[in-house]
Amino acid sequence: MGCNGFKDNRTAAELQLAPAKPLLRNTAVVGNLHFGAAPGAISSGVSLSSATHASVRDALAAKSSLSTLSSSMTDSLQQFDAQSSSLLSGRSFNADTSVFGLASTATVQAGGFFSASDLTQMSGMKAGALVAGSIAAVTLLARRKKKLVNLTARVGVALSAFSIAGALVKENYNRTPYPLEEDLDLPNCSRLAQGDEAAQADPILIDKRKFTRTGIGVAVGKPSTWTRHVTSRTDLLKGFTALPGFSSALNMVFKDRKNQQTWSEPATPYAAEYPSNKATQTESGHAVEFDDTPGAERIHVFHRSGSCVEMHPDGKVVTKLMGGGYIVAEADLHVSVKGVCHISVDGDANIYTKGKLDLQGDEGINIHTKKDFNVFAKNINLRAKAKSTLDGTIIDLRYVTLPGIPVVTTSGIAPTLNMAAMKKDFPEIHGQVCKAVLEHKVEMARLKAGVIAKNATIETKAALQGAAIGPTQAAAAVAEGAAMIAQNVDTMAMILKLQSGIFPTGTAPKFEFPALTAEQEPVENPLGNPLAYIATTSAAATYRTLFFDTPQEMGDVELYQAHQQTQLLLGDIESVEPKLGGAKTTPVTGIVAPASLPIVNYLDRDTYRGNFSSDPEQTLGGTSFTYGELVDSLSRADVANPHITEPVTI
Amino acid sequence: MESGPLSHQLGFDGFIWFIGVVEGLDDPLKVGRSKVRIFGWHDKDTDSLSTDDLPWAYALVPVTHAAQLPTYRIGDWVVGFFLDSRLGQQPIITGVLPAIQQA
Repeated sequence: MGCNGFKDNRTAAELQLAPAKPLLRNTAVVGNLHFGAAPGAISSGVSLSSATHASVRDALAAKSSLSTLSSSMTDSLQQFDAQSSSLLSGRSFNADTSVFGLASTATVQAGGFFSASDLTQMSGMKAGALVAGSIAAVTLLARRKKKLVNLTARVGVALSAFSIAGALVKENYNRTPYPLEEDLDLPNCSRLAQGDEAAQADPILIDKRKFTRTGIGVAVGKPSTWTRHVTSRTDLLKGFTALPGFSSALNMVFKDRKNQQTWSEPATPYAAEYPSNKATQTESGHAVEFDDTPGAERIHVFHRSGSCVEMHPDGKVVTKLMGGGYIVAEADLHVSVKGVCHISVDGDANIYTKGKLDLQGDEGINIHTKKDFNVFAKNINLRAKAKSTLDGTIIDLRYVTLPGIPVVTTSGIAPTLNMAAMKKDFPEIHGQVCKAVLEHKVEMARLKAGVIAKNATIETKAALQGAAIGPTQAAAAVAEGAAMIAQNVDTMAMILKLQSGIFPTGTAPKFEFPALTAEQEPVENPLGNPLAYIATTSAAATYRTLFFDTPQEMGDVELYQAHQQTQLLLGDIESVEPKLGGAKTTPVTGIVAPASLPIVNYLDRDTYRGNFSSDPEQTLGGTSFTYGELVDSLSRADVANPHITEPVTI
Repeated sequence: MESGPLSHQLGFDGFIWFIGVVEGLDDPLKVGRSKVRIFGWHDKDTDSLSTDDLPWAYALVPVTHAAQLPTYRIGDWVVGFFLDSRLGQQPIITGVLPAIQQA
């Protein structure tokens, strides 16, 4: 059966102008690649992942399609005036461009007016009698031209603003007349209102589930064992999303904990049952739902791009912005969160205030980055009420770099100074320091001069004594000279060592560092060392036991069990201990599903159609009722839906 | 009311209005039909005429919400007419009567 005589007679041009649901919705995973001023220009140096590549491909395809449409619209517009002249001169015009109620064979009567018979409704029915001259061809053509101009402008704007960031909507430019094929044999109310299979097959519900984002990372403030692992210098496991060859439980934890903590967008709680969901879906793919289904009450506003606001049965509100979003407050804006607030940004984030920016964390503030942490200010004031700690492999204080070459002063050890930087910023102090250095050099020179003088004395003494005195005295003088030489050698050595920062034995200052507390001690992350999973020695087993049973691991059942299973796989332990309490239950049912359901032959309209003929005046079995007064089975209300082409069993 | 044969043309056999009360909304076709007990036509005793035995009544939806389901509830009083005139088997609901609800 057809559609009760209904036929959608819209022309190709009309269909192209009409709204239609998108063929495909998607989200772009690339946030920084925009077409901008140079459409399609993507740097060849950009390395794209497979997901990104797919997005770019879809975007380019959509852009190409849009471009084709734009070109087609522009051509159509350019030919419009010529076609209008042709039409107004009385000639028939191209059927493909016939729009707005003009039959393709319409001709213009004298005076530029259409006759009533030239007007055709969209349904294919002739319009009723019209007052001659009530619709001027010029008016109709002007309307049509305006529509074409508007559409061309819209497409042009869409093309110029095209970006592969955010929502990607693949339009259906090959639109088909109503009823759409996918809507055949279905009620004309919204699929979302119908519930059940009809709703589950609705693109809105499918796409909402597809676009539900999970595993969104949460800032942890400070490095954890997991983040230390993925940011380790060795970088051995950084590229892995799973540890190859190990238990799924561990890999699950590994994947989840790479970001330490995650949150996910709640899935749509759609569970509508007919007739509780008051839903409206429009031609281009928008939807509004007021769902009163008990236990699944929702309000949902959905845009064809996928952007939506959904209020859940428990009062949660999920707002999704497929094409980005803006909040513009012309006055104060207040945000209050009673629970935890997570803000996760895949790209860069900026907070800019023209006034003062205050950050306050009553329980502490942690800032964590895997790369540089830079602070630029006119003055930086750091005040600690108790302890202030600055740690680093190298600490560069502009004038002093630690560890540098230590030198001994009268008050202890001092690092060498960056004299050039100091001279530039503090020439006065630089002069004082230079003076001190000069004095130091003078002292060194004095020491050296003393040594040289002593050496000269020794030589003189030896020469004189060797010439003028007896052998015994000469030997004593030589011995005294030798002792002085040795003394000089020691002095020289001390000078050299001091110059190079080495302290003579026994003179090095001793520093008493306090012992580190347990919290301060660096915790080695077992997962950061893949060898921990490979070695089979008893030492390795002990190592694993030690690290897998830390308080942190023991406090996390999921993590603990994953590690226990890993140890089990590696043969470190024979069973997972401690086991969880309780007994595992197995559901038992006595109900056995039948192999096949009984076949019931219900009577339907085809059973009756054409099988009965009677005189409408004939009375029914001794009553005053006639056949004519009986309900006509062919027009029963429950089988009269124009969209139902097959017999319906009630 | 005429008793002759019906022409099956809307209006040709008379145009009969009704007022009734909505008793059921679970339309298996999901096109917004409801079971309406029509005053003066259906027995008010639900034992002698159960809700299931009432005819399905279509709702005439506004042209601005052509694919919308009716939002009246069970217990609401509705006004309409019969498509099949005096046969009274094909009720069409055109509107709802506002009411002060009582226990």
